[in-house]
Amino acid sequence: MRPFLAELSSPVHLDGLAWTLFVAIGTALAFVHAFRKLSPYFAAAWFGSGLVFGWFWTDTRTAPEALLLPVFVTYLAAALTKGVVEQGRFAGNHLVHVLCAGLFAGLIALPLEAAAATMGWTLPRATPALHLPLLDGPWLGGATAGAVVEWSLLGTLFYGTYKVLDHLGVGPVVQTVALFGVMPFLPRFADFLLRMG
Amino acid sequence: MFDRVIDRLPALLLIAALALLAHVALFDAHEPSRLMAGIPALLLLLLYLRAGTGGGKAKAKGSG
Repeated sequence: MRPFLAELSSPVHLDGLAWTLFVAIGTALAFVHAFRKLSPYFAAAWFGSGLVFGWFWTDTRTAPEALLLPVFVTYLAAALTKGVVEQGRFAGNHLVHVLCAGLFAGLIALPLEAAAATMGWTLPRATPALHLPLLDGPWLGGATAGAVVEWSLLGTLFYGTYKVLDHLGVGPVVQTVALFGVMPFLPRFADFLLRMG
Repeated sequence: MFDRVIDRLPALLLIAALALLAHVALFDAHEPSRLMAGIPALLLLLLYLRAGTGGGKAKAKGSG
């Protein structure tokens, strides 16, 4: 007898367009959140540099969801980190903040990776060639531990770069130019670190 | 009302991501075991909600 959950059906079938809309609308809402809760400058700097990062990170530049997913996931991770970490003893600790944002980016990307892998939807990159047999298993729902590590690394690098530039003491113009200027090189650095792993 | 929705957008977006996975796992792929991929994110969501965030205006310039 098949399990009850496996026999459920729905008149709505999610296809590739639904995935594109999900990422695009989610990113737009995240931009609105940054615009209203922080500042227009922050929203433009984060999402603008995130788009540059996505352009150099993804293998499929023609797919909007592949371009937008990195900045969407990293922003969501940073926003959740702000809510979780800044309420406790680690409030104001930038290192903990960055590391938690990286970890959370991996956790947030996991269900998205699993859903996209199940349906064959476009992701920024194919599954990385990281072999983590201790972590891989059915509990990842079709995603791989390598993908989680990759997203965690992305979140840490992206948010860490923003934090470093934000606390260098340079003016906002220099900071913004540096942030956008670093983004083309950040994916290469991430690749370097992943190859080391 | 609008501000309250904005305050809760991170949690709502994470819920949307979990709902997407649930729909795919239950209705499209018919593989409920794929729901396990959402457990860490669900725990993160509970942690975030327990921290009682959402209210309060962040600092103006915003360091992220």
